Amino acid sequence: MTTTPAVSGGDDGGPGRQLPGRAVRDRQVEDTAALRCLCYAACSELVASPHDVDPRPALRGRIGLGEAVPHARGLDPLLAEVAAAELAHLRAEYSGLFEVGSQGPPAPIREDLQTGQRAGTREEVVRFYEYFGYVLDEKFAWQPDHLSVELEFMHYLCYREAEAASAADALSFQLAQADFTGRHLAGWVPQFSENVARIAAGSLYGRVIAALCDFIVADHEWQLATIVDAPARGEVER
Amino acid sequence: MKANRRVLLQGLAASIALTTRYGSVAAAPAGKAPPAPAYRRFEDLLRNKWTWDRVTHGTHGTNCAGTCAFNVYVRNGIVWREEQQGMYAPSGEDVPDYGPRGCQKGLRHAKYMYGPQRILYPMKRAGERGSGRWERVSWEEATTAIADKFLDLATTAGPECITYGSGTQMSVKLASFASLFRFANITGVTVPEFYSGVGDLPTGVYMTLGQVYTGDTMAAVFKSRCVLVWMSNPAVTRIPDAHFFWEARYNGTRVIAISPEFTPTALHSNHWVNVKPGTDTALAMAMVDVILEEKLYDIPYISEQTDMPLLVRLDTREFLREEDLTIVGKLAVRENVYFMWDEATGAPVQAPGTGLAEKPVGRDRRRFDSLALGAIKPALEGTWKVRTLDGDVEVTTVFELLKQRAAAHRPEAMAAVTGVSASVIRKTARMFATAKPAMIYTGYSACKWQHGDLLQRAMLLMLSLTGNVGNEGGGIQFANAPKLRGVSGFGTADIGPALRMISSTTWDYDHADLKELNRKMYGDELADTYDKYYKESIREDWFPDYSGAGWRMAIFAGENAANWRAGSKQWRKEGFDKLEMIVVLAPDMGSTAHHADYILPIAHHYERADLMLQARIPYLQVLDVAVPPLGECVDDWTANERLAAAISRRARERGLSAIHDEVDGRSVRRDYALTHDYYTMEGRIRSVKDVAQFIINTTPGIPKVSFAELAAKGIIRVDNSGSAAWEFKDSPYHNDIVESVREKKPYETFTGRQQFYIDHEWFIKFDEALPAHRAPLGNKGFPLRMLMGHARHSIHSMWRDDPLLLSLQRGEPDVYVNPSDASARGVVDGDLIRIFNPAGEFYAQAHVSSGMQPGMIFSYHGWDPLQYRTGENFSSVVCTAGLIKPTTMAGDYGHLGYRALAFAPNQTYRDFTCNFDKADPATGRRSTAA
Repeated sequence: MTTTPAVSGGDDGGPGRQLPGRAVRDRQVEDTAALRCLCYAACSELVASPHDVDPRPALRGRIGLGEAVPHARGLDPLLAEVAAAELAHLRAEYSGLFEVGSQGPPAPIREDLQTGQRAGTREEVVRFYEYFGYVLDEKFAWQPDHLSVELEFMHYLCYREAEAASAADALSFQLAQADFTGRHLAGWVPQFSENVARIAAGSLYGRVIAALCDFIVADHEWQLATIVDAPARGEVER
Repeated sequence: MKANRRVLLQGLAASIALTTRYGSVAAAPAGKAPPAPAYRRFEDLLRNKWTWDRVTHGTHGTNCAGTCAFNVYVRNGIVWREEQQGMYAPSGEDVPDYGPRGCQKGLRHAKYMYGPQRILYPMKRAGERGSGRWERVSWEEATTAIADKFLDLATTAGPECITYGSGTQMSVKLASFASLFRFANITGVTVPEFYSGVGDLPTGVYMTLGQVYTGDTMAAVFKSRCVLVWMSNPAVTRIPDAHFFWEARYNGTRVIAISPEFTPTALHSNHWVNVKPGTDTALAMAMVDVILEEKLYDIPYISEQTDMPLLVRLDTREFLREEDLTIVGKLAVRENVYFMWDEATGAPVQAPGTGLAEKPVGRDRRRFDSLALGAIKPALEGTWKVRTLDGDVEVTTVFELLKQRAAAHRPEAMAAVTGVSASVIRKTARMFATAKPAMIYTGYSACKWQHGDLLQRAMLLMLSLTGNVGNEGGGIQFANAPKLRGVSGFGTADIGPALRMISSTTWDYDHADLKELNRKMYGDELADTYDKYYKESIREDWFPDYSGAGWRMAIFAGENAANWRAGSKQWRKEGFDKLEMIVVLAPDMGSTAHHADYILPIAHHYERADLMLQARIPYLQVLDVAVPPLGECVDDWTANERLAAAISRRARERGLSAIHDEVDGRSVRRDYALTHDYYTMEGRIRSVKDVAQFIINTTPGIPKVSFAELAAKGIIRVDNSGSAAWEFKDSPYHNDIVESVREKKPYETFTGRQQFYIDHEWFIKFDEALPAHRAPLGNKGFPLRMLMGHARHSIHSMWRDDPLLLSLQRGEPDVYVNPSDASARGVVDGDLIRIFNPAGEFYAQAHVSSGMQPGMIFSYHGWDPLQYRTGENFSSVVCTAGLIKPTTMAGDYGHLGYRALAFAPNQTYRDFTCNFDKADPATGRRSTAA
């Protein structure tokens, strides 16, 4: 596990390499990456389809996680609430909002559908996954833009950041998180959250999405604040 | 995050583990973590953009008759794009090539298949029907509920009260259709066939030729010297094939478009004849008159191939038959022996090809007899006296009667009816009759008028008189279809036939009280008359009747029935809405699914294996599985397999005994506990690929390849397809008409000839023994006739809601209106208008176009009710479903009588009128564009 901030060392691009003009402020990889990794796992579980897997056992183990990550505090009560809910209730509410409907689901839980099937959206998501070695199972490959999958990818990037062998490696994962959040999650989830609020503001999943949206936006801001001076084009090659 | 929290968090942080629910980490060298890629900007992601994990072959299993070969590009388990395969072989030296093929709709599918309209999971209604509230359920829950309802009804009321309807979406995928066929054959459910149900059945062609499948390949167009494109708009509806028309023009062929509206096809044709809506038969008969008057007919051809020389008694207007002449003939009911006047002997002589079998099922006549005239010199004109058992009677020929009938349609008289000047009629008739070969390329609109049969008979008169039926580059170009031996063979293998198939038209008439609709729309006299003949036909057992147990449950597969029924409100209210259970199997949402109780998700085109054969191109086309079905979708074979399994399981769990069922007089034992065993042939059929292989192995004319080999190639040219006409018996398509002309084999009509004169009592009573113009029906006080046609940007309702394709149109349903009709109502282009008549109303955007004649409006079809502001689409004003023309229910007359997919009444769509006015844009729901 690598520590930050700015590292110095060899010139082979490996551990300890000095990155000109770069510093990571207040980002203790061994803590922040690990905790955010857990946080994103919880987020992914919160919005996974309860028809596919019962999310409650996993979520019971995540309760209290919000306390560990200040901008995730809003999630904590919902982790508990979902973990305690009836599975049938979760399924009915989830599918009625996100999965089925006469003119498509009332609030599709996929980025591609929320953004009007804009050209290149899903492709870029998949390229992120591919580039970082995150391989979707065949069963889920068709919906790489599902909110739960995108959040799991963030969980994966945080994990890789936490496990990175060098600061340069960690930086790759940090930049990827920032780009992926900025270009995808933080781009569509606020609109999605508004749509859900319009349809089912007080519902359990309505509150889950609202809290999740707050977390994503806050975490994005935190990421940007803790990575400074993005490298110039062509600056770093391995 | 502050460092002073670190201690508190260590416990949590220590528990970090990669927990992936959806994926895994790419393989890394043994014992090592996967390398960390250097990422500095998102552009790094796109370096390998144009690489693929695999490229499969496929097409779009929908009924555009295109079957265009596509390559389907897959990476990371997703279809990213498709491209025309372009692997068609050169057609030959004398015709253009078929490939590449494709259109904008097919090229959108990689996007569309991931769209919001997809049905991805089994769904159960969670509110009132049509409320749009749904709950995702498991396959087991859905199929168990469906099976229980099925068993409740089948074991108490009988399986005939349950329908399994399929649409064109389903039927063109051969293995899927075979699966449905087998399921229905095993369970005894009624299959209301859609061919007549959507008004596509060319009954007039069948009346005349004893065969509905008369089409050749598209290359035949190029071989024609004059093509009348009539009731068809191939520039819009046959996008991959339209080039044959334009290449033919470059080659000197005269292409003449006949349509009320100025179509894109008319735009590219040599001539456009803009006939008034519903007067096409008048135009055709006027051209027949010109052909007769100017002696442009082919005497040897009509003497040998048609009933023109057959003798007709002038006292009864019936054919002179052997039973008229001898007591032996009368006792033996030799009504299938006809006579002609032999100028060589000056006496009546038995017409070659008559006698032997009279029914189409008995092929002896085709096998053992011939139309060859030999030494007979049949007279076409004249009147003679013949001694009969009734005494001397005067006889004449069909040809003489035809001349009289045609004379009643002189161009000068028909000019006022058709809106086409006599000189244009004569000029067009001459251009057609003096070109050889000449063809009439027609579409299914010719079947969608109540009197469409008369139009088809008149078209065939033009073709036959000029010797053009059955010759390459000539003939009437409706579709052909593959011989269904493989499909029906799969449906009945090991179990025998016990299928209930009926026309959707008569099914709806019985179960949606369409007599009442006729009464409201067209008055008591018509309603009572039509009903009288309808009931007589059923009573005489000319047509099947499965109405005894009512209509209580319906399964719809590949069919959006609530979109297009021709008596929409009445059908919905009296039939559809009263069903105790509605089940829909579909890949996309539509109006029918919207009103269902259960929806089962079906795989889309790139997610399934199957076969397609369309006669317009001589290739067998594969659908291969590019990616696994999305969500919990399955192919139709599997969906039926799951239903069959649930029925078997529940029948066993409920301890149900076998039932005894009666199908068309046959006793059938149905043990529902064995449904799954029967369906899978006791496990020998394991997937839809096995069904496809069964069809490949048993269908004549298909090269005997493995499915895997076909999938690897994508397309394979079928046997004996070197000619533009389907001319060989061992081709996969029907070749009966070509064979009759070339080999002089009798037709499967009552007279054994191309039969233009039908002396059935009902035809004589309605003065339709020979074709004649009949004015279309309308609704009093409603001046505008609404026409419809297939759209450029959808195939029926598929792709109708694709956002990009919508953006190429107006984003919402529109109706074309003439500028004068618009201004008379204060409407300008883009206004919201209300289209209405006594049957109902709907709202659409006015598309003001001088391409429309005054007095007509036009709506491209396929728009789903869910896309309209009030949830009502065009079919709310179509009130023609009950117009079952008596002569199309005739029977006990050789080839006439119910014959599935060949002779049945069409549900028609044109014989009504309506009006429109400017509407308040605030009315109803938001538009789809919004």
